[in-house]
Amino acid sequence: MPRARLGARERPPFEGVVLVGVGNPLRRDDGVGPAVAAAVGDDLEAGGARVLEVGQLLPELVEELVGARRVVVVDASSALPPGAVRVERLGPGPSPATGAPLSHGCSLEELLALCAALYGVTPAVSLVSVGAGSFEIGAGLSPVVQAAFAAACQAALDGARDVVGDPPGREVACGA
Amino acid sequence: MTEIVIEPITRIEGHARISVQLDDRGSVAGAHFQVTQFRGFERICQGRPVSEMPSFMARICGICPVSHLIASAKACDEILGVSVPPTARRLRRIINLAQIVQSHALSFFHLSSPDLLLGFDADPARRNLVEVLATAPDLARDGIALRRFGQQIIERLGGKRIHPAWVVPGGVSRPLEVGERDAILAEVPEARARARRTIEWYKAKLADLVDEAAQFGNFPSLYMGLVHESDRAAWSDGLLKVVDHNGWVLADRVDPKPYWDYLGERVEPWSYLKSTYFKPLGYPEGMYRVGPLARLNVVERMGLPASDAELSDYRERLGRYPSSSFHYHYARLIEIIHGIDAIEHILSAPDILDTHVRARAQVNASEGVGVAEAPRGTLIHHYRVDDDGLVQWANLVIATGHNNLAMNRSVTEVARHYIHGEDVQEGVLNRIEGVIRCYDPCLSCSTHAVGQMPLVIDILDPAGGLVRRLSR
Repeated sequence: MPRARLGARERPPFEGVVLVGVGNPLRRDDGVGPAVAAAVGDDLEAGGARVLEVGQLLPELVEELVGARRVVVVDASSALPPGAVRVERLGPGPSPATGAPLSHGCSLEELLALCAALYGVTPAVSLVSVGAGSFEIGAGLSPVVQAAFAAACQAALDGARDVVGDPPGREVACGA
Repeated sequence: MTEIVIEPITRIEGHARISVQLDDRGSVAGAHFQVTQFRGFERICQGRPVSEMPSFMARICGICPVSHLIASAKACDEILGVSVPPTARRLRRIINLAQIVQSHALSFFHLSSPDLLLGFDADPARRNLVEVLATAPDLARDGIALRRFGQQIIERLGGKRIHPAWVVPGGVSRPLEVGERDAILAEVPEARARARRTIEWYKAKLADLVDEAAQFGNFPSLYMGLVHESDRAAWSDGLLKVVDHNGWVLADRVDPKPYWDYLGERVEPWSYLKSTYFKPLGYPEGMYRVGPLARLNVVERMGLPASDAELSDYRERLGRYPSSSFHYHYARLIEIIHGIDAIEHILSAPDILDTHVRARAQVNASEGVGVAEAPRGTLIHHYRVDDDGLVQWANLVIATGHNNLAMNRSVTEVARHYIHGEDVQEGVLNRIEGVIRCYDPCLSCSTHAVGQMPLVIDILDPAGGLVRRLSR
């Protein structure tokens, strides 16, 4: 059976913006990524961007990301103070994260490494992290994250409009 | 007694770990796959309108939302007392098969192919899809493409954003359009080719994995799954069948809805994940397995030519009732082949574009049970509602719970075979994780937690002191 032809694929021609909101809306602040994507998605889509809401980062997202001029990922963080919003520029790491041997998800760095390995290119990525106050089961953001929600939306829009600063990142709001 | 603990550090909180207890001679005394995250999604269903339940329940899991969507909708169908239009039943079957294809692709290529390709003794730092891509680029590309094939079908039918509300009580919310059908059909040949060469690669690879195949959860148990009344594979609608490792049929195509007649649930002190067992045989003798290995053991045939041929080959190689959990991988690949063919077959039905795809009704019953096959096994949703159709009580029996007893038995057997004393090598730990990966547990589903599971392995002396720590 021929292999080379099936395996060969050119980089997708799409050169717009992709916004990815990551998280589970039924785990309180874990849903901030999808909530931001829902809030700003219509405006971005009207401008030609693609907007995705995903529970986890998964390998097939490579196909969505690799042709993008810019990717903005919005995700909850347990490392930041609740309500803090941090924006970072990311590239493929020297090695992908391998610390989740039973997890179905990928790290963002692993996805970028896959982009590079598959297509030889990686998109410019801005990661908007929002410090979570609660990961309890239930719908709705905690008050502290709700208070930071506008800042998170603005950070996502800034990222989509290529006005995000350079590494190591900047903190645009802190509700802690 | 010395204890080896493989403990996760999640971004939310610890929700699972593997612990291995050694006795004073360094032999394995016992082992557990422990889940410590409390599941609470049933509780937050209370008070929600039954009409919202499918799309709400789909949010439980980012990996298999469609499975919950289907089982939930079926429970709601029963509460409404409706007969789902035939075309809607077919469309539900298509989206369920797409979920199975893409979920199996994720399991096989993303989680397990590094073990299979690079070996269980490979450096853990290389155990990832990027390394697979470097070593066997076509294999990695096939994995991503097959995953994408299933995902695109789900997006075409259910919408781009996650947790589609397309599957609703009474059917689906809109009919299939001719362009959608043709677009899916156009992608079938490439998906089929990728699946076929993957299974050929795997069959050739099996010769290198004889030891793991012999040791990874190789024990007699019961097997449970849904089958069609003609004894072929069933996915969204079917009858329950339970067989043992000798082929004795303990439940032969029975109505799955009164699951409480067959299944008992037990909560162990070391895990919040409920352990289910086949009630007529009691606990723990009623241990059973679900999912791809079990489904292939309970059916007489798959029902389509290519997957029937693969099933025959599988049985010639492994016997009629393979008992090693290692063969979940092989079974998964056969189900991918079947899923792709079945999607094409169903899409070719003359009435697949019929516009009557939803039956509407008010609440006509106070209780409903929905049962469907999810990628990891039989999934049960059970709801009770009040006169206004508000959910008062919900119970979910998920595949990872069905397999809990078998996963624990598997971890124990692998540990006993490979661990002798406190000098535990990385390859041994990878095999312990590897046997869990055979079952492909969906912990965000079973424990309803975010599923990041980095592992820390602690070896403790009999007094609880740390002898050795390994981190991933």
